[in-house]
Amino acid sequence: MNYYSTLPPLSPDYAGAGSVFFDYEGTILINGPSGCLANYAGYDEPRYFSKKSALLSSGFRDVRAIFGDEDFLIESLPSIEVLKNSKYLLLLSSPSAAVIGTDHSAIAQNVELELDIPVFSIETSGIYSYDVGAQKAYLALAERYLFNKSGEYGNKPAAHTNSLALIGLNPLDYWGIEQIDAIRAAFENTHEIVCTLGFGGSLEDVSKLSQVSQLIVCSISALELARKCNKEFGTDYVCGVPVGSYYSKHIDEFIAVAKKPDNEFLRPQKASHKVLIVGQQFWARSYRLALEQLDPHVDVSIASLFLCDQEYMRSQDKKLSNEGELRALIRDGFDVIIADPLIKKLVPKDLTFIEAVHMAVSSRLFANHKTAYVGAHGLDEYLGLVEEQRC
Amino acid sequence: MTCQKLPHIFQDKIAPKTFKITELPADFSKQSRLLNLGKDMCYYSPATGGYGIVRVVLMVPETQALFVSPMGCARHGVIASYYYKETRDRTNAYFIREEQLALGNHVDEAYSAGLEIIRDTRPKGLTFIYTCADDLLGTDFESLAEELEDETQVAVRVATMNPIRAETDRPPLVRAFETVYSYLTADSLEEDSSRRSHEDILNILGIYSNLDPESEIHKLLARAGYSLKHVCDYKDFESFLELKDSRLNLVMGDAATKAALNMKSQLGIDFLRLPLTLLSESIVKNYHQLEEALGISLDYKDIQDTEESTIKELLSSHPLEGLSMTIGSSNSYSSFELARLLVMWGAEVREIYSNAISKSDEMHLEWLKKHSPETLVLPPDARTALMLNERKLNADLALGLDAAYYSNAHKYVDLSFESPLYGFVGQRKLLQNILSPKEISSSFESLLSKSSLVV
Repeated sequence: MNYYSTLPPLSPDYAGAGSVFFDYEGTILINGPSGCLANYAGYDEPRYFSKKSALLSSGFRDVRAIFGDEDFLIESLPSIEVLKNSKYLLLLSSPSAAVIGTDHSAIAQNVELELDIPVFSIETSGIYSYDVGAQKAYLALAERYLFNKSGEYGNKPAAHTNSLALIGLNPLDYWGIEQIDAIRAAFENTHEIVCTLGFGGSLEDVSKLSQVSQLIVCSISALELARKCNKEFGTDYVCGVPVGSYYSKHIDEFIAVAKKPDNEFLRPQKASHKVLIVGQQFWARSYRLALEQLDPHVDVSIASLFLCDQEYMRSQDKKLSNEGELRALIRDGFDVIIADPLIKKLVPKDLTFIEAVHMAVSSRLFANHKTAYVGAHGLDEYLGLVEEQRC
Repeated sequence: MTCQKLPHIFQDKIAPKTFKITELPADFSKQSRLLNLGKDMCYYSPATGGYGIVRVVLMVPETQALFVSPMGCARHGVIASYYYKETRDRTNAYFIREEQLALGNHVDEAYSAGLEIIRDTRPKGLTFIYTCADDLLGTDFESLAEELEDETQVAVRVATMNPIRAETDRPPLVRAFETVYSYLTADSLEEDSSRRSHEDILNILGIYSNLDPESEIHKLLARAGYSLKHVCDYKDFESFLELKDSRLNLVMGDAATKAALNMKSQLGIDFLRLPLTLLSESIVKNYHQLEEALGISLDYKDIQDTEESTIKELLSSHPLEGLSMTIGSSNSYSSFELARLLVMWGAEVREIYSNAISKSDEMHLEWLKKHSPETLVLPPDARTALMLNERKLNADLALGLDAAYYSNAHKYVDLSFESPLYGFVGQRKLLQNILSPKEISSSFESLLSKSSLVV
């Protein structure tokens, strides 16, 4: 049953889609009552105060639900003052607008005729989690600026051998800013980071994806984009980010091990200890690789309440549907649990718990926690607690 | 790398929607009281907020709340509940899947979730909260509640968080107050001969806690044999039920008027509209109403004289003339009445941030038109309000953290939802707070994130 008593509702798809666009200096309109916008702006967008993009609500009301909503948006949107200096307009749907079947794609096409900026619509509903919305947003950007040869920026395939792009580097997956900096820092000495999708950068960056030799897929939401880039341009991709000092210093080794298919890793027959990592699949995968580099006998399982891709799962990994499944899994003989701090309440006190803030779970509650879970210091907490206990 | 502001949208200044107070109509009977109509786009300011539907329904002790909604709807309410330990363990959520919306079978699972909560936590009551999606689908939660109540013999109620109904006569907050007091139904206590009457209780509703304990109203009423009670005063459900025998309901916030009407028809409890106030004229009016309704004399004159004399001395030694102020609306008071009080004390009220004019605001609005015609009224949810806090410092002092944010004030007076100031003592304490305001010691981002505001 899809019932949560300990964990909060997870970040919804419209927040994920909005967060992909937020740094691109435009306007995001959530077609719904203002509370839906408040969910994203107030609880899932740590950059909100920076106002990189303007966030508006359509102020959806019952009358519009009954008589239809499209005309109101088509007529009103072109006159919104803030669009004058916006570089894009993004339309997102709330649950109420989705329930009545509002055709946001048609609205976007109509509004774009009146404006000289690109207008995007992403079909969100508030029913799915943030990564589903983010995935659609990455693909929508790529369709417009990368795969569409007549797109505004076009394709300029000219890959440098050590050039890469970090895609899916989204605050809902990695926050605070120290985590994002740590990921970038790990690559900066050895590679040219051409662009980043999800945090920072500009709309123009999307077209640069065709110019890089490697995509670093930081989160599951960017996997489909990476696969399409691979198909279109032959661009190589790696799923994960460096965790711990070893892989942060030896990036080539990280890339090599992260490329290895998950079904080729053997589970230790006699485990030194059992670890469960709960979180976004590609971060969790990276953390597992780091632990295995540290101790080949550690037995690590991954579980996620969000999207999971079978290709990157091992036999012991689990895609969870709800809190109850997570609660049961945690009691399955693990010594260490690594997860968002809110998940600690589900964990028996005798287990070692290591915090790794996942904003899509805990929103702003731990936004100021500084404990590193990626980059050179990403294993410090683990080493402090677990290795100390073993000694 | 830091998250730097890149205000591309400010290349051209966008004027925030602004009304001169003199331009606002005198009579709202033929036009909307909303200053930013639902016909327009809205901005969500990080300083926007109130008490939140979850906290309101969970004011009833020993009850649980169960959101039944798409994932996105309940997030802010539940996350906010982590800031209030007393509500976190009583807040639950059931997420509807897409196919369930089409089939409508989420109702069965919501029922099962409710049953599980009742079985696991043994509450005295359970409130289902449904949202816009089920509102539009016309899902019948009342029947669901009745059925679950029959099966478990635990009181089950229904509230909504459906802001699509914000401009109807039954918006979410009104419905939430109705839900809270619907637990006081006539059959909620088994008839018990030992049950004592509570004719001495005056039940406050429409605000979020009992009044400041230092307010003179408590002493005045105690002398006459009455005590003020609020649902939040009760730690257990059985005690809370004594409110059903209250002598009188005192409606201090308009949103609870329907709840009071319900209690009048179902429980026979009469009610008075007694707005939360710090203005002498309104305080006196409230006391007269109480005297008349209860047939008592409150003898407040001495306290009034003492407090007003103290206020006079304070104003004499610390005059407010020349002090520019702004007033927010994330509190339980009438912003227009507060403005009137401040103008009477000599302050210059530059701006009032309000999305609506309530009926009880009208008389203060008229007064302000005459005595403070330069005051501006700005609705913070207007689409152009995203520019509000991009303006230069616009006031010396703000009433409310939201007002401080909008006017970039460096000092503010906190107007808390909890234990609100009231009466002549409250008036004096407000002035003292104005004379010793809080400093904006860290960023607004940090202060607002930690504040108790919930949309």
